[in-house]
Amino acid sequence: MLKISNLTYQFTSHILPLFPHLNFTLHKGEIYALLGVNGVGKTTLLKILSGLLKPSQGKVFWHDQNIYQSKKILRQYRSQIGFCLQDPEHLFFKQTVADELKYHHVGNVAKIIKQFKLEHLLNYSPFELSGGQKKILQLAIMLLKKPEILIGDEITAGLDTKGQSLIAKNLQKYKKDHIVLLVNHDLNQVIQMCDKFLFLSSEKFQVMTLTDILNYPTIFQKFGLIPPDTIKIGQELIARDILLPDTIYSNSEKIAQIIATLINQKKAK
Amino acid sequence: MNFLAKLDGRTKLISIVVITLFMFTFKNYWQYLLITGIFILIFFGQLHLNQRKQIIKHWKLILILPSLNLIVNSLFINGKVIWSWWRLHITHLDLAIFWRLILLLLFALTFSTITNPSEMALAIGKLINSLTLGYYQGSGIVLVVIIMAAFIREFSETWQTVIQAAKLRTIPSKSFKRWSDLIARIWLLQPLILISLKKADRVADALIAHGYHQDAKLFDYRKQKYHLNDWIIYGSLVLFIIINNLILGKL
Repeated sequence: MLKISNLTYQFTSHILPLFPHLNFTLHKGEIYALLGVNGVGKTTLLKILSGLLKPSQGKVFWHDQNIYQSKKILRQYRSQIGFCLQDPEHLFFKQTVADELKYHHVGNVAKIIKQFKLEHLLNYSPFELSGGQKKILQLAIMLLKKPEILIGDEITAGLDTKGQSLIAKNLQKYKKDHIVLLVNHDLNQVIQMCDKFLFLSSEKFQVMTLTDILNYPTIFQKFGLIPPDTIKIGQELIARDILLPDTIYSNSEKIAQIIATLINQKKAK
Repeated sequence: MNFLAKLDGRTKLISIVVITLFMFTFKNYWQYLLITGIFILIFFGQLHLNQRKQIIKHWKLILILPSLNLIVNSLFINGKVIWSWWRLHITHLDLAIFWRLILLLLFALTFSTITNPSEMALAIGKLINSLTLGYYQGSGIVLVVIIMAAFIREFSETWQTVIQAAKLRTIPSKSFKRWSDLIARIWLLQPLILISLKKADRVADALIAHGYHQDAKLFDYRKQKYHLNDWIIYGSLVLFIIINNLILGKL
């Protein structure tokens, strides 16, 4: 359990803190999405939660221990974090993809290579890969660390649909015994992939489930975001009493299935 | 917006240069006291808390550099000795240099805090353009300063991220020998160099895309009128020089 208590961050050159005092808890078995407009401090918050940046105020507790209590505790905490950076090139230290995967790994390299279909890339330099391949390699590297908390900053940005679904599939598998926290600007994808949503702005912070979002039509606008199509359709159908308000409608396919079932039931009557 | 923030970049630059040069003409302690008093007024009255913190952050530099200079100077006798111990001799000139250095560092830090690199570059370019009566455009200087300032920041940000990534990828429980630790550090240069080269390449492409080449006149300086505050500063500087040199300097 990762508990955040009264946390905020202020850049020395800024007059006001980046975001309000945050209080929330992240649990294993769930994928969390951190949502907010550009410049609201999402990456800064990810850096704080990964133990790379000390907050100006507040504490981060991992299993009830303050991660900034001592350098030793901080180092141990960092070893349990897998952080996929916005630009993966910053963490490529080796000459080939194969060497990258073997560098400080804990998990099974052969299994990961197969899982992420990296066989044909092993002898390439990581810098020679395409943007999408770099993102996939980065996730593979981080999963080889077997982190307790996996953090991804725009992990699927620039990926084709095949790559996106490969990452989504692996994250769904990984979340079972771990915490996964993602920043992603593709809200349709976020709705499909994540279980809980952390809305962040410079003044407000709110944690919601998908059901909460469906029953709160203006939540995206409140945080300066445009609601994804799935949510718009779901909310409209709930408002017209076609769909039930307490059910989760995370993608258009699911909605279509439910509507088809309803039509069939009506026809049968 | 406060008085200082409204000032033109040129005014800030000229003021710092004039005061710096002017300090070399000081003969009495009260002149330093006066300048220090003005600085204190600006520090507390015109800078906001975070700007003050940014300057104070460099307290080691502000104290150590002039102190080292004072120690070295005290090995030599530069005028009338006011305090002596072993081979060290402090003179009035040593104290004046010590004080002047502290003030110079404080002015430089204040200037860099209240002026961003682009503003400073444009101020230099515009001044050169005006001094040469528009003959020399000064755009090269502006571009070089902006690119240099941007690159220093980019370079340090890239390095920070690479170090952070290394911290996350290294498993602390594994014990390393110093030699392998050093080798591991050297490998961190790989992303730093390759990312920096890519960024430089992007800047070059952007400049060509914007039509920058030899003899290109990219900079069409907008006419920027001085604000009333700028004239107040220039007037004060002139007044200060006249009072100091003609009346009080003779005391």
